[in-house]
Amino acid sequence: MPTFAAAEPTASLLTQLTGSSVIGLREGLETGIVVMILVAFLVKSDRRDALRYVWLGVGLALVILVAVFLGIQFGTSTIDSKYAELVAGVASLVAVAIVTYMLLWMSKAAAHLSGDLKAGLSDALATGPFAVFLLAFLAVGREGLETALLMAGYAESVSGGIVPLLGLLVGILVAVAITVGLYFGAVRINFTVFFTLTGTFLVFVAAGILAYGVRAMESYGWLDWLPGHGELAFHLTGYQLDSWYGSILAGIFNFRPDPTWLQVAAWLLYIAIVLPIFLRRQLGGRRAPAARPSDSPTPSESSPSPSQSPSPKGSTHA
Amino acid sequence: MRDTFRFPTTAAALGAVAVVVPLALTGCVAKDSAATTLAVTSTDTECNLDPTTAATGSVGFKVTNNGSKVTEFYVFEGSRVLGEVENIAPGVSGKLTVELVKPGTYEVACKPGMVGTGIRQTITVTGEEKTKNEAPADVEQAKKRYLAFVRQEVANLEAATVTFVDAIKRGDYDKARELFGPTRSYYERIEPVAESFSDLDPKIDMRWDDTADGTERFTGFHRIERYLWPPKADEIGDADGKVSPADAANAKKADTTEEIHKAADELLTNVRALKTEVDKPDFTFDTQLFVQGPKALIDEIAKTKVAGEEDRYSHTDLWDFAANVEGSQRLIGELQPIIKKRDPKLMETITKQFDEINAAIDKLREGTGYVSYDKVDEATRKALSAKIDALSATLSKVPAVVMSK
Ligand SMILES: [Cu+2]
Repeated sequence: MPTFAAAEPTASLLTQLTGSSVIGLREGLETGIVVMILVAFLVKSDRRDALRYVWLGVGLALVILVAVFLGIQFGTSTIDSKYAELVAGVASLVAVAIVTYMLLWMSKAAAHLSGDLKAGLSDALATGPFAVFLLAFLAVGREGLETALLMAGYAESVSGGIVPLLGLLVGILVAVAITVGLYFGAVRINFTVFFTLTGTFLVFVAAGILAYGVRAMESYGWLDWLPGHGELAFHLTGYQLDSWYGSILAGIFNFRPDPTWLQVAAWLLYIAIVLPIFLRRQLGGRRAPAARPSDSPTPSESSPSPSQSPSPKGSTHA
Repeated sequence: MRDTFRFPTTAAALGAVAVVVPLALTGCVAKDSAATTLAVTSTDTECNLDPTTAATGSVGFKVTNNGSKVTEFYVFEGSRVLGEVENIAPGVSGKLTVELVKPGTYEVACKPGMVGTGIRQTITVTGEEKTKNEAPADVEQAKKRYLAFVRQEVANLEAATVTFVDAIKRGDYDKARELFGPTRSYYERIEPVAESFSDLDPKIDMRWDDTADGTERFTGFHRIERYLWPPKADEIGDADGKVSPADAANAKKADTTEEIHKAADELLTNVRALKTEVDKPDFTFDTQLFVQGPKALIDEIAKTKVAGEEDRYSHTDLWDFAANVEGSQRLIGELQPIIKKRDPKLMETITKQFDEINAAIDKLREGTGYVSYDKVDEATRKALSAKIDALSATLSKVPAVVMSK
């Protein structure tokens, strides 16, 4: 539904530029961070061959995004913005489920094959190409309808001045630079440290995406049956969500200074459950190679683990 | 490369498309479907609306960010968010259309900086409570069929207008008087749709009463009608169905042959413009207009025809009267399977009441047309009026019945 048009430029050009760039920065990071981590995992565990599933997911999401954008731009219809938010919320929850599943599976594999963490990880990734594809697709496409609406708005606003659009592009470029920088910083470090650090980072990113999804459900009215829905837990006055730091933290961790109680609860619960499981396997796994997976129940418990069906390895890593 | 697994690339891609496309279509809404659009100006400290009132139905908002922070705009019903626009950067504006179906006050908020509860304002929505615009699939199908009928009627209207205008230009006024009623019938049958063109409808079908005593240009069918049937002394007066003294005076002064030829040309131009509009592939009309159409057409009769107000110069009101009934019946014809399925008793009543009205109209036929309405006595008018009112009451139940899923 929302389409945008340029207003009488009462906001200064600089304000217009920075105002739009923080949107580009936030949206760019939201889209890029998970894909970056996914790529880093694959590269670090010598699974470059699986990268094509990442690009397939990213590519397909982009194609759909552009198609929806063109449909809005040149058609007689548009997308209901409330509905776009609901889709983004549901897609976020699915993305979190996949992230959690992959992370815990990988850490389980790592715990089992403590002697060869890399090989274990590689196997874990190998068994889940669909998960890799779907995660890449959702990471880029989860806000697809909302992004298409945003693009349609900027396309229309061009008639009133190019500055907001330029700002948006600048923001996206900065987001790309940050993402690429993080990537090269990450792949350079020692593998074991990399896996622990990146995995921990991913837990916080996923918790943020979960909180984002919860807020979307709340505002759509799907969580009205829960006590305290829609009520703010706190509000950090003075925190600027549309500042550069606000955009980076919102883009990476979906942090906002005025979360609802349900958001806070979901975020805390997720961290409290997933992070210890991950870290215990990570750190404990190497010390005690015999750690049994049943010690810590996880969503991946029922799935066949690589240790139950060992696949021949050695061809990709000597 | 290891190949311990095979990934169904094409299947996954197709699967994703198969999920996403219906997802996108479900959120599909018409662009610019709002009747009124409220201008919202958001600054860092203010949230101004102009106007602050709207009629029930689709309400549009155009949110302009004149502040220095990124803003958002929300429409609430109680605590529930009905619609929102996010990410409105400084210097950019966002549009939003929300269905405000219940009359009452609604809260809206601008959220400069995107946090907190925002700057709240209230808007007042007045009018009848509307049902949601989402129509069941069979109603959409019926609407499509009716659209074809509308296009056909407008095509017929154009052809008839060409002949009518031609008679006037040739100075064959007897022929023109004969054609006046039948030509208008095509317009009257689709009146609710035609009236949705708020610029063309007045140009084609305005009355003297719409000219602010002659200060605005009098155009369309009724201007030509006044020329073809110049007001006679005994028709002048202030009652309904009479020609007002100012109107009669204006007719004497302004209705020259030259002016009427000009009005005839304009009429044809406007009818052709109407045809161009309805022939556009993306032409559509509000579903509410469609399901309320049967009653709206019948109410047209009660409002303007029973008193003889519409065709006050020619007294050809019965042509319009019959055309409105036919138009209403046509709409009911499209909706009949749906009404029958959901409320068979209602359909029986509607059919019976239409039969009665048609029988009453048939008694007033004369030759190929109808008797002059000024020859219809008060008792007959009253009897007709009673039947019209009864049918209108029945038809008022139609929208709720057909829109229920
Ligand atoms: Cu659409």
